[in-house]
Amino acid sequence: MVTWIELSYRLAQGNGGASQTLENTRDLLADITFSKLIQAIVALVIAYGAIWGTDKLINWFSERVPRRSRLSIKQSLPFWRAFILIITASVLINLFLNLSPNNVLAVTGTVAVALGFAFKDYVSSVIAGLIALFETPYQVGDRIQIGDHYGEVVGYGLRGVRLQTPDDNIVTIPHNTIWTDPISNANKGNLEAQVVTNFYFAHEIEVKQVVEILYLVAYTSKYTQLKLPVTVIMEEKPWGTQFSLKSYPMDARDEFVYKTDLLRRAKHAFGDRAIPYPHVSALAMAHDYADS
Amino acid sequence: MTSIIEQFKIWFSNGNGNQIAQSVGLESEFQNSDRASLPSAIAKSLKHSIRQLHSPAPYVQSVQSALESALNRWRENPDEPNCLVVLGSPVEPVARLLRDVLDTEDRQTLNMVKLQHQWTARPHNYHSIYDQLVQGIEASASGATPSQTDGAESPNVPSPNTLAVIPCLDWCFLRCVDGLKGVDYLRGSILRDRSRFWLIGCNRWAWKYLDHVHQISAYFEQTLSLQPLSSLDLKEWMMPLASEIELKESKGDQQNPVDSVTPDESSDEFEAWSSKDEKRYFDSLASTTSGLSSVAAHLWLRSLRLPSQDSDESDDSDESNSHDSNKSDSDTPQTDSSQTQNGSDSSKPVVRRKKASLPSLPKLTADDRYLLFSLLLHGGMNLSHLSLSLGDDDGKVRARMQMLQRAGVIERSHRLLEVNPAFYPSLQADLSQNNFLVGDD
Repeated sequence: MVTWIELSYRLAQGNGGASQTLENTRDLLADITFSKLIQAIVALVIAYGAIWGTDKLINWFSERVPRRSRLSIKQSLPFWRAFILIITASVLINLFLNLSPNNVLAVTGTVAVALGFAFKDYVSSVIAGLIALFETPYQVGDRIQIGDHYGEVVGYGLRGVRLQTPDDNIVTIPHNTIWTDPISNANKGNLEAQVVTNFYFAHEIEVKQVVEILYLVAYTSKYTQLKLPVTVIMEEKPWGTQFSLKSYPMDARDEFVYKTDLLRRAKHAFGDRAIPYPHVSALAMAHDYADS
Repeated sequence: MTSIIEQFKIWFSNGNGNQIAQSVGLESEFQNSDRASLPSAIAKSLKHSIRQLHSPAPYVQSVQSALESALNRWRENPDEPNCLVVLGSPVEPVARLLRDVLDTEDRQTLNMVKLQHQWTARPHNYHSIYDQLVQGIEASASGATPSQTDGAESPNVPSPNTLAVIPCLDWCFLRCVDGLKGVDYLRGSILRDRSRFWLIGCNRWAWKYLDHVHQISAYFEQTLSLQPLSSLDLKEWMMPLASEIELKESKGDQQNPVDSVTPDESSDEFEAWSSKDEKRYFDSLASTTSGLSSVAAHLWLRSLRLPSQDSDESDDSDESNSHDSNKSDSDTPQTDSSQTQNGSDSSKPVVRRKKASLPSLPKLTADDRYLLFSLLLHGGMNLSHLSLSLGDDDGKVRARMQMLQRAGVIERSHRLLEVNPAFYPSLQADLSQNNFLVGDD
């Protein structure tokens, strides 16, 4: 905070006609004593510990309650963090600044200029994070795609969001990407997320039989959430027919193991019935994908 | 208040490994060690007696009455539904109940076609379920074989007096790609063949599952859901069990005979109880088990203790000394001189009962939950069927099954794996909280 004031002071010096602002800035600063510095350090340590402890506690607790309550507990994490940060900021401001309506008005412009130059991206991310808390394009526990990165939101920080990818990597993405990038959210706060599994067959197959098997494959998987709809969509390709089985696992975390289960059992059933796969070269399929 | 605490414990112990689960595990161990105080020979004998119990009278009466009225409606108007489905909890023996209902005198006038006549479980080769059902239905339609029919006359042609029975619809399917053909065929056959009435038994979880997969409730609109038993119903149903033990009353029982109830409580209802403590015990049992007979019987068994190892014994030091002096072998049923003096049967084990309480679930993993759900859905199955329904390897399933069996959650009965009814209420709550499609009891 002192750094910001100094910075604004220098900026004010550089600006020839800002002597009045300089006076206001000096009025704003309270006396900095050793005791106040100690108190500030203690407040920061407590805040750090509280954020760390809250993160750990909420993650620990959310993994021990039934699935249905897991996401709602995880989603409270950003609010607890924001609460701790606001309390800490209030304590620090109270220690080092003489806040009065006039002082606040006078210094606001200076601070805004300083932040605009020095912490533009950081502040943009913080503000985007605050807006994301209310707009909720993503929450902790959601499975989202931002750019090329897909995974479960495992952390919601001041500056960015942490994703755990299917390869178990942690990717940190700044919140301010919500200004420019599209965000695809698979479950939007729910426990279930739709899984689309594609199957490809030759043109001459009996469609009714394939559709029937695909429905049965979904209905008989131990992971399937039967309360949600199961659908089969067809699409015709030059080299064959594509069937998309759309269904939901009971827990979005099982997404990949669910898809594997569907594929494994479907292939077994199709193999038993000798249903032909498309006779097409890999090059032709790649070409088709490139076109699409 | 107690039930709220129980619910919280169930809710909180639902997740993966944690300290709470460890404390629950300790409690479970404590209860198990307490239960061991009942000699295994006695426990085994009582368990056998539980299996031999006739179906509870209220269940039998409700099925009889529903069947009677449904049959009459259908006879009067053939456009009325020709099927009645009896739904029970996955741990209630619905097939046994239907057998008991059909064994009664007035049912003898009907020509009964039992389609699962020779089935004692799901056929080992599940592909044959469909074939066997087709064969059974076609044979009974053209002229039933003697082995498949009961009753006064063998019908050559189905008549309004023909009652086709499927005691356990659960046995007609297996949750795998080729395992649902039988139910699909049955659904079509029953709709097509309106020349006879169908009585079907099914567990509620399977019914709900089949409803999502085959929309079965849209076709079979007439269902009877077994209602919870009251405390008095439970007491009367378990009377034969009570006659196999010598119940040593606690001091409270002796001091609170039913005659000593307050004037407000002196009603017909109280005449059925021998003491206030007995009423309290069965009230608690009915509420804890949600009125499910199988769960109640298993909790009753778990609530029995040998007097000498009972903590209540400290209340009665004289009796305690007497038992201690006679105690020789923990596996030998306790008999003492006071019983013979009182004229009681010395061959009966002397036991005391504690308040019946639900056993705590052990720490369950996601795989355990899938396994237990599959068992409840199918109402008991062998290991290979269980593996097929889970889509997992036999080895992996066997390992989980062994652990659950050691924890007492799974039992083996005639080579079939079943969920121990005592764990059913906790398990139902746990699976429901974990987003499984459970039946409503």
